[in-house]
Amino acid sequence: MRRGAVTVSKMKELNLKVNGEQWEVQAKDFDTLLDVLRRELALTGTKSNCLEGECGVCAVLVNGRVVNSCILLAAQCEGAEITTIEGMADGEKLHALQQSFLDRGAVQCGYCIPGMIMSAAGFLKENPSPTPDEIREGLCGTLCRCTGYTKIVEAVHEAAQNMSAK
Amino acid sequence: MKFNLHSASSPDHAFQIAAGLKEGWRYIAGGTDLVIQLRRGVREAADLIDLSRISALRTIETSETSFRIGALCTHKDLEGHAALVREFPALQAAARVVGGHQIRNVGTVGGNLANASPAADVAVALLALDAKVHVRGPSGTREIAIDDLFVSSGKTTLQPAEMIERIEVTRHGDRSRSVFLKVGRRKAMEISVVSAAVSLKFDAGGVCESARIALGAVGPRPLRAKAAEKLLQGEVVDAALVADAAALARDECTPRSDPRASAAYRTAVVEGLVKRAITQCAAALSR
Repeated sequence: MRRGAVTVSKMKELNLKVNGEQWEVQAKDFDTLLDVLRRELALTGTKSNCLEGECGVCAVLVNGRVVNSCILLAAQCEGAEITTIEGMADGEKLHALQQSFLDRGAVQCGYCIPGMIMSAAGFLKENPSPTPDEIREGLCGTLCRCTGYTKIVEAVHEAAQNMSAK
Repeated sequence: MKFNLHSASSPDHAFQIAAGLKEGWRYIAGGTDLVIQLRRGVREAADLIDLSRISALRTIETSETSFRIGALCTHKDLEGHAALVREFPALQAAARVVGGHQIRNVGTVGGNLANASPAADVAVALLALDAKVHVRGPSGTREIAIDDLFVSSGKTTLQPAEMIERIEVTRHGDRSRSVFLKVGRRKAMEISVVSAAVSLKFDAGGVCESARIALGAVGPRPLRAKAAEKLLQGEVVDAALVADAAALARDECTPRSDPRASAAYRTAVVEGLVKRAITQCAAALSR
């Protein structure tokens, strides 16, 4: 099959460990990690928006580090461990970040929240007891167009305290 | 955005793959610039050769005389390397203001150079540190002074199949210091409106032995302010000299207007930024 100048590549097998489960999925060479998560695994908690790495609503953890899944090629993730928002809770028990976002009312329209929580999860691994200013810098790659940052920062601060108290 | 991706396990493997492809292929590392450019149609490629699996190029080697930074080190690898950033504070300051955390976890130092943006923060810091760029191609290796790498926005002197393997910064001991400063419209997640990196080395008597001043986003490529550097060399750096050097640096710039800032604004800002960077650097050395 030809489209334009490029021979469209075939589907290839891709091995990913997503939220603790091993998957063998089909992916095209030009699929991003976001494409595979949403289309092949139906993990639609990870949002799709700017597709340019600007807004961060597609943030997930790859081998423990936060990345924008919209500009990361899926094929470059072969063998990687991925955590999405669906993998944060432990059964019925919410992750400390999810709980503090609820408790603090940090969610307005909600679209950025999966990205905010994954960004915060990645950031708190590097800095488990941040100041509010450090949290703002830590979340700089994820945008909330409701501009509800105050409560988001409060929620991350509270979660950090709860997580380090354990 | 459509292409075939070929994963390379070593530089030689990458050259083998390249030899079998028609023209119009590109290397990809982190892809934080390239994937966006491909999606927008600013760049085109029928095939990409993925370098991100070449783990040998993701180390930072330390010797008595230099640090050799693997081209595939991410910005986070750079800012988190304690020994490197203690000796070269400009590198840490530059690496930690590139995009947000999601970008810094993926984007590579080699990519920051090869993408050749005039506003690239790490490129500006490395230019002030007089880095050597170790390049490998199908016919062997060569070394390029970083000042000879950049041509214009998006263009370097790298030959078609060549890749950056390592970036080497020479250690100059206690009497040297570097500073990186950036002006943007906000404190984080911002492409530089103007950036400046300064690296100074003083002799035992406090005279400036060598000076390097690199500027970002004020010309078609990261620039050296060579007249300003020359003015500082061999002199005791005082406030009057710093002011003169900053004015010379301003005159060496050819900024453009773009949606982030006007040329006039950049010209006004760069003088003050250079003044501040030299002053901070000299102050750190006289402590």
